[in-house]
This record gives sequence, structure tokens and C-alpha cells, in this order.
Amino acid sequence: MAEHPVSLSSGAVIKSGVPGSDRNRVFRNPRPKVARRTLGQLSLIVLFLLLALVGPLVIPMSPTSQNLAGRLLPPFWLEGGSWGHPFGTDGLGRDLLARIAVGSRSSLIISVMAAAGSGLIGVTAGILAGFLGGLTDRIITMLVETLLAVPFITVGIVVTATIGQSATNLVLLLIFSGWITHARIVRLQVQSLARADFVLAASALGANRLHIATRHILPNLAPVIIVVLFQQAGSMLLWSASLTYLGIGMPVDQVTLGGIIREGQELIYTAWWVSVVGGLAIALAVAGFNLFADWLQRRIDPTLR
Amino acid sequence: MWSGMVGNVVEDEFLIHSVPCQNHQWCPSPRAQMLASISKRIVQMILTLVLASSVIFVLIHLSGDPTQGFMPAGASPEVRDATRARLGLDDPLAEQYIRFVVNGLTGNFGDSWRDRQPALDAVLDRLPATMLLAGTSLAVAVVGGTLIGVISASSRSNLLLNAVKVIPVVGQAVPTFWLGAMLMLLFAVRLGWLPSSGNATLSALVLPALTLASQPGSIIARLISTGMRDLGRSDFARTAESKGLAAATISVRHILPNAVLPVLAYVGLQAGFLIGGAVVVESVFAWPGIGRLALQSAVQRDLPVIHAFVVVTAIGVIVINLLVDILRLVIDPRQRTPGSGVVVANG
Repeated sequence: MAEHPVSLSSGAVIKSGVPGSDRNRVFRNPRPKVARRTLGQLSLIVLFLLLALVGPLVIPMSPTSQNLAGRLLPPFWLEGGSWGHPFGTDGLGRDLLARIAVGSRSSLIISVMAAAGSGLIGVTAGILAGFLGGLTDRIITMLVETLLAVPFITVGIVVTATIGQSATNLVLLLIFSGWITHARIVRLQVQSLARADFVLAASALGANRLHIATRHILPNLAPVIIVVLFQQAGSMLLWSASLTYLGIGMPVDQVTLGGIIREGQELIYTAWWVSVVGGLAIALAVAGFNLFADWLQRRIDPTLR
Repeated sequence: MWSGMVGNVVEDEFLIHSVPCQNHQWCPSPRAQMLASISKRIVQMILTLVLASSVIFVLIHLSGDPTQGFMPAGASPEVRDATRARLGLDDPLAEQYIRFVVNGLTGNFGDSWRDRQPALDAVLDRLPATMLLAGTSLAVAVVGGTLIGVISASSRSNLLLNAVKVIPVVGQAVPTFWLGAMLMLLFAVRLGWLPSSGNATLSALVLPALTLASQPGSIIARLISTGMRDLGRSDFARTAESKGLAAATISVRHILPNAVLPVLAYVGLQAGFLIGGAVVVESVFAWPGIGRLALQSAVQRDLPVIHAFVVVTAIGVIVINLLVDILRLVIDPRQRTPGSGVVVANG
């Protein structure tokens, strides 16, 4: 049995002979590529999680203590910078790295809560609309289209002008505008699933609608929901930072990424790094969430591999 | 700002929207469709305005005394009571609610609480500046995005094609306001080519418009590029090729109109985010539009102006959607031919 396996194309092989070193060689080939891609896709989110969750605990500098003698220090890679303040200091001499770590933590908490809340409401509404159809569908669709005309920013402005700013209000307003994304996507998915053969078979066998919804439709929805959840966590982070930058998100006295950039923009002629570093932290987080969502999608959906 | 996602899920959704008269044997006549679209949008507008007014009303009364936000802290109880009476805040809640919603529908928001000017006028005064900014950005995004999409789809270069695919993914991670600040840092502070703020000259429009156009433009380029690649393999493209048409004619006359349909769906869906993005960009570049007015009014709790702002922007979003509906009828002849609406395969 000394035949060599015949390689048809990359990865495909006609099995023959004993499982020996030759076969392993064929299968070993695609692995490193996958691993490298996984590493690339996961490194950003891991980096951001380290910054947000571990950073505030291990960074010795205080994010709020002011030091007017040491204000506007540049980051370490510029002339005059030092490792004492790796990213430099802001207009009041506060350490930028510590502020970014603390701001990232609050951004992370807010965006995860907002994504989870809007996911819960949106998925429920989407399933109800797609599966029940009829009047329920029309009401939910109408509500979704109505809310599409009222963007996040508008809701943020209204909330600020009436009940004022707080972390709770921010999360609630993100959920208020965010659930429609889930509802729209889930509704379309449910509608196409409801026409699938296995659903037809189940109802022909006498399964009731609740059973079909929970045992046949929901499991098939799970991949889409999970992926959209993480994509939305990134979007929520972006939106909460935008609202905070505009002064209508988190209260002004909190340490936030949006607030760091707003303060940095006032210093753009003297200390440009403040807003640059703040923006990079947001980009790291959002790109991290999106790449993680891509990676999950690839893991969950075998057709994409 | 722009709804971030450009993943498969969402692109599928645009494509689903672009299939006309799904599963119907025939399409209604164009005039009937036009009327249906207009009446649907009018109903949507009324519903949106009622909902928006209701939410604002609930929030105002959740916050306790609405006069607290804008009265000086030391105001005497008599002055406070007089103000409450003047603004009608002592009437029964149901009466106040109905008055509030009806006022929202009829454009009678009352005077701004800050300066003695009707709130609607305050918003309408600032509207042209915002429309100039948003309109320019939308034009830049659609024209520029389409051009880049067509070029990348018809070129043999994989580099360009990949760039068009990757840039929206990177772009959606970059906050609009930060991009604006970085463009300002580069072109206004470092190079000094363009003004950093205001709207005194036309050159002041360049940076805000580019900032606002960047994200939708990159997504449109990607939609056009992938759409044209897919449609290039479709039956009608092959037919056109076998007729002996030039490649450029096939691309521009046959494939492009089909590839534009998802873009229209995208623009309609994102109209709200365009206006939201305009608010952000106005704030970054000190552009004197309705967004800056609304932000100032929010901090000052000037509720009539906020109410007028919400109503005006909601109408703007719905009007954009109406225009998209009509454009779709104009571009897509499949929707205009009564009785021939069997769904044409989309790729």
C-alpha cells in the first residue's frame, strides 16, 4: 500500500493507504493559515479587553488627579515625553493612559449592556413579527419605520433636554433606538425560515406554533443573533462615544473616551495627541468587536469557511 | 454614525428590498405605486410626529418641573408660578398632551424659551446651512462612491477590489467626529489649506462635507463594486455581450442601473443617520446649522426648539425616503410595467 494520496486541489484528497505521514501532510497545510487569521481577528478585541478590564487595576497613575506643572506632556515617542506618562498628559496634567483605560471600561460596560438590551427586545419583536405575521407584523414594522426617522442623536438631544444625562439614561436611549436593527434582521430571517421544508414537515406532523418557534426557528436564528449582537456592541460603543463627544451622552464630569476627544479638540493646536490617542482607543474597540463578529460568523457558519 | 454594519446580513437585506413585487404575478401600475408610496409616507409622517411628540411629552413630565432647567436658581416662587401659568403647565395633563401633539402636527411649537422668537422660525433659519452640508455630502457620497465602485469592479486589479472591500470595514470603526478632527488637524492646522470652522467661504464646506460623506461613500462604493461583479455573471449581461455590445456599454447601461438599486435602499434606510451625522459634523466644524442649534438648546433645556428640531428632522428623513421610492420607480422599469412583474432573477 505504498500509493501516495492523489491531491485534486488544495486540501482535497482521495484517501488511500494507511493513515500515515503523507496524509497528515495534506491536512496540516491549511491549519497555520486559519490560526494566523484567528489570531489577527481576535488580537484587537483581546487588546481592548485588557485595556478596559485590567488597565484600570494595574495602571499606577490616577485618571483624575491634576498636576498643572506637568500639563500637556507629549507621549513617550515624542521629544520631551517620558515613560512616566506613556501617552502624555492633558490640559490639566492628568495621565492620558489612565484616563483612556477608565474611559474604555465605562464605554465597554455601556455598549455591552445596550447591545444586550436591544438584542433582547429586537429579537423578540422580530420573531413575533416574522412568525405571527398579519397585524402584529404590520404594527411592529410600522414602529420600526417610525423609529428610523428618529436617529440616536435626536433621542440623545431630547433626553438631555428633559430628564438629563446619566449612564442609565444613555443605555436606555441606545436601546430605544437600537432594537430596530435586530428586529429588522430577525424578522426577515424568520420569514425565510418559516417557509423552509423542515418547518413545513414539523407542522405537517402536528407541531404547534410555539413548539416550531422555540425548537425549530430559534436554534436556526442563533448564529445570526450572536453575530449581530457583537457587531452592535461595536456600533453602540461608537454611538455612545459620539453622543458623549457632543455633550449629550455621559455626564461631562465622567472620564469617557468621547469626553477625552472633545477636550483634545480644544487643544488641537497645542496638544494634538490627546484627541488622536482617544480616537485610536475607540477605533481599537470597534474594529475589535467587528473582527470578533466576523470570526464568530466564520466559526458558526460552515459555508463561510 | 452611520449604522455601522456592512456585513453579509445587512447587504442581503438591501438586495431583498431591491427585488420588485416579490412573489406577485403582476405589479401595480406606476401611478398606483407612486400614490401608494406617497400615502404610505404621509401616514408614516403623521405617526412619527405623534410618536415623537408623545415621547417628548412623557419625558418632559418625567423630569418634574420643566421650568427648573431654564429658570435661574434663585427665581422666586411667584415668578416661577407666573411662568408656569404663562406656558400652560398648570392645565390638566390630558389637555396639555393633546395640545402638545396637535401643536407638533401643525408646526405651532410656541416661542423659544430663551429668545422671544417662534421655535419653528429658529430652526428654519438654520435649515439652509444644514441642507447645504447634507446635500453636498450625499452628492459626494453617491457620485464618488459609484465612480469608485464602477472603477474597481471593471478593473482587473485585485488590489483595488480588496481596498474597496476593506475600507468600509476600517471606516466603520472610526468615529465620524474623530475623522473630522483628524482632517482638521491635517488640512487646517498643519497645512493651513482650508479653514477649520464656520461657513464664511465655500472652501469651509470642503472638510465638513468630506467628513460626512466618507462613511456612506465607502459603503456605496462597496455595494456598487460587489453588485456589479455579481451582476456581470447574470444572464442579461451575457445576452448583452452576445449581441456584441461594447464592454463599457454593458457596464454603464445594463449592469449599473441594477447595481444602483441596493444603493438607493441603503440611502433610504440611512437617511436618519445622515441627519444625525450632520449634527455631529456641524458640532466638529462649528457649522451654524440646525444640529448646533439643537445641541445648544438641549443644554439650555429650550424645549420648544427641541420639539421643532425633532419634527423638522423626522420630516426630512421621510421626505428623503419618499424621493428614494420615486427614484426607484424611475430607475427600475420592472416596477413600471403593469402585468409583467414576474420576478427577474437578480444575479
